[in-house]
Order: sequence, then structure tokens, then C-alpha cells
Amino acid sequence: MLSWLLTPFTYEFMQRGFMASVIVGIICSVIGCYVVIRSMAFMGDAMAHAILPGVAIAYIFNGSLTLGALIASIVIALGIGQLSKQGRLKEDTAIGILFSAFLALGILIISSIRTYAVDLSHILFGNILGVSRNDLIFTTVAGFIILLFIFIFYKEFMIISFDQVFARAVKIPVEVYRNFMLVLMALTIVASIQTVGVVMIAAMLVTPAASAFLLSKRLPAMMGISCLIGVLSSIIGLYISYYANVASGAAIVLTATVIFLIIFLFSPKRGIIWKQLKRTARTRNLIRKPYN
Amino acid sequence: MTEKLSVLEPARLDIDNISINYDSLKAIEDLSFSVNHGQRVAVIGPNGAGKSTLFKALIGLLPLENGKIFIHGRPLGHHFDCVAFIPQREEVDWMFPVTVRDVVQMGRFNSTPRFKRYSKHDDEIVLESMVQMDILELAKRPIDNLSGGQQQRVFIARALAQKPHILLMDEPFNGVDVFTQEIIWNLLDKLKQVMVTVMIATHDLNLASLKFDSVMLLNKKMISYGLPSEVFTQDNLRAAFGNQVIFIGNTAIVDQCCPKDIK
Repeated sequence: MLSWLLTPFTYEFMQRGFMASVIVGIICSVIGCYVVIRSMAFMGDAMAHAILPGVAIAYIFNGSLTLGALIASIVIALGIGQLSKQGRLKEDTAIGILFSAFLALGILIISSIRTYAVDLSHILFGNILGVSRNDLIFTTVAGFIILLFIFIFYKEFMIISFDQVFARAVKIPVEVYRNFMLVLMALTIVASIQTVGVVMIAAMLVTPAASAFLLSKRLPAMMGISCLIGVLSSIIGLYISYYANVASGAAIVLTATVIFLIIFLFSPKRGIIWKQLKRTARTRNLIRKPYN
Repeated sequence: MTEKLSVLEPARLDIDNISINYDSLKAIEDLSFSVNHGQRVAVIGPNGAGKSTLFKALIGLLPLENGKIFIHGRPLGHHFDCVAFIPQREEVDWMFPVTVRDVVQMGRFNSTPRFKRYSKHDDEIVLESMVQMDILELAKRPIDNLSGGQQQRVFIARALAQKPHILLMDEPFNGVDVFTQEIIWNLLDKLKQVMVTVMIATHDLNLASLKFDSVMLLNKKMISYGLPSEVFTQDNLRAAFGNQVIFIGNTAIVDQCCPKDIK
């Protein structure tokens, strides 16, 4: 058993892959808590897909792919904010428009580059075996920065998410913090591309946090539980990916989904099986009573 | 730019000819009035009369087209927490993962420096606010299973934790239980003793005429402002409510069920 657990670690690329996916599991889960309670899942998905044209343009101009991805992701987030400002368009409509436009632009550019060296499928689905030393350092530093800011501005982020009117009344610059949170989200997404890929990042942002939401009554606890689920999904998913020889990102996301489903069914607070059991017990008591 | 004012200094509110646009529609036009220290004012008007708009302007959330707002004789923006606003309950997500205590504690936001835990003094104020609204035993409960009345009391406790000089309440009696109403009235009497100015938007003409020092009848413009007996005349009520008001002898009945149809 022990050797079964340790075998993957004999390869250096697997060590790096494990470390990267654990960090990604943590940051996605923490930022994901805000994504879930602020209903920004669709926004996260759009920001992830917007990376495509960013990477492609950066490639053409020989720039840093990471920087290209980060800028594109922030641009779409701010663009959505502008389009939906003051209720001119509903936010999900604005997201729908820009999301597909960025994706189309990405595909257009990539299809025009004949000698494109970066495999598109690696951006889309992640490639955990290809995590380089530099990638790992970037992910670690980004993760550290993200967690630090989430910790420092905890009160502001919490208040603007709960009650915007109150936040503005106590003179918190709501717009500034909202944009700041979008930048942190973009950073999270870019740092996660290598491990889970564009297509599945939304799941990493939403699924562990949603599971934690069902189990916790306070935001700090929700973040802790979400982290635990995120890390657990990453590790289990990677083992599955290693031994069953399947795509790592998909394995991680599906593991998280299974954990979510178990919690959804059995959580003592909001689980449906539990509620059903209570209801049946109550009905049974009602039926039994007359005979006693 | 911002400064703390002594709690001892009583609040005085002067509104000088303000107009406010909301979604490019005129929500409030040429409104002027002043409220003395410790007064309790009912703001009455049909839906869309600009009651909530007025309150939001008073805490600096809406830009003024023209006119000025003075608090303590100084223009708006010089104060941190001296005006507290209690919005209608529907405006926040009650599934949010915070406890009752967390929400009340938000009221101390500006008094706590970054990285520091809430001080003993803050804790005392939070506790006192919860005791006043009788929600101490709910302190550790998540807010997702509170009744309407309990939600309202949590909001009021948060506003009290701000230690305001002026308290603005938007329909606090809407959909709350009798027990909560009683607690709110007790609170209002206590606030009067410590000279806190209170403005309450309400639909209830009866309450307004019985329990308030003065009444403001509003329908985008000021219709009338003064003692309840002076304000509640048939002419004034017709001017504010139009066909929605019916008179039976000396009793006025306001029909609020279909405000959109009647202009």
C-alpha cells in the first residue's frame, strides 16, 4: 500500500505536479468561496476562457504567455463590468457576449498561426506532467500573494459581498474592492491553467466552495472546509490520473464532484437524504401514535 | 477630511433645496427641511415618492443634482458613522454564511484598525446592541434561519453598533411580528432620551399621527411638513396619494395595493 502511494513520487515531474495541484486546490477553493456567495461562477468561467486570445497574442509578440493570460482575463472582467454598469445590460448577458467573443478571437488567432508550438489541448485541459520548475515557483508565489490579500482585506471583501449599501454607507470604496477581487480571481485562474486547464477551472472555483457552503455557517469555516475538499480532490484525482492513465484535470474535477454529491446528499444541515429521513420519521410517528 | 464627532454633540439635519435623479428620472425635486435634535420624524408618501431615495442621499449614496445636505452644520462627507441607515430586509442575501453576531459587528467596521481584533470597547457595544434588540441568544446562529422580525432586529442592532446620531429606518414595521414592533418602539423611546434623531419611512398613517413628533408628507416634492395634526389634512393627503386615499368621516384610508396604475 505504502509503495503504491509513494511510487508516483519517484518521478520528479510527478512531485512538481502534486505540489502544483495542491496549491491550486487551495487558492481555487478560497477564492471560490467568494465566487459562490457572490454568484460569480459564470464570470469565473468567462475569465478562464478569455485567457485563450491572451496567450495567443503573447505568443505572436514573443511575450510572456502568463502575462498575456493575466491581462486578457482582467480585461474581460473589467469589460463585463463596463457593459453591465448601471443596469444597461444584465451581467449574465454581458458575460455571454464577451465570453464567446474572446473565445472566438482566441481560436481565430490560434488557427492563423501555422507554426504554433504550444499544444492547444494543454491550455484547454491542463498538463500536469509539464509543470516546470518555473511554473511551480510562479504558482507558489501567486498563491501566497492571493491568500495574503484575502486575509488582509477579509473584512472589506466580506462586507461588500454581504451588503453593498451598508458597505458604501461606511465609506468602503466598493468598486475598488470589487475590481481588486476580480484581479485576484484572474491571478488564481492563470496560476491554475497548467494543472486543470481553461475548461475545468470554473469547476475548481465552484465545486469545493459549494460543498463547503452546505457544511458551514461562517465564512472562515467555509474557506477552511473548501480548502480541505480542494486539496483532497487534487490528491485523489492525481492518483487516479496516474494509475488509470487518464487526464489529470478531469480526474481532479470529477473527484471534487463526487465529494460534492456525497455532501449534498448527506450534509446534516442542508442534505436532502437527511431531510427525507427526518420527514419519514416524523410521518411514522404520526401514523404510529393512534395505535399506542 | 473625515472626522469623528462627539456623541454628546446632538444631531441636526439641514436639507437645502436638494434634487435627486434616479435612473435619469426625477426622484426628488427641490426638497428643503430641517430636523431638530432628537426629533422623531415619520416620512410618509406613496410608493415611488422618493422615501428610500431621500434616505440613501442622506448617507451619501446618491449624487445630488443640486442643493446641499448639512449634518451638524457641516456638509455631507465630513462624517463617518453619525448617520446610520437600516435598509429594507429584502436588500441582502440572507443565505450568506455569517452569524448574527458577525452582522452586528460590521457596525464597528470603522472603529477597528486593520489587523486588530475588535477591541473590548467594540465588543461591549456589539453586545449592548444585541441585548437592546433581544437577539443575544441568537448571536451564534447563522442568519439563514431567522424570522422576518429577527432579521429586522439584526439590522437595527448593526445600526445601533454604529452609535449613530441620526438613524434612518426604511419601513421597519413591514412584515415583522408584534414582539419585534414592541422592541422597536421601546428602542425609539430610549433613543429619544439620548437625543438621537430618528426618521422612519412608513405606510402607516395611524402610527405616524400617534407616535411621531412631526410628519413629512412626500411625493417627489414636499407636500407638507410639521405636526401630525397640521399635516394630515384631506387636501394634503389627496395631494400626496391622489385617488389612493379615501375619506370616511374623519378617517383616511390609503389603498396601496395597486400604486402603479394610478398617477
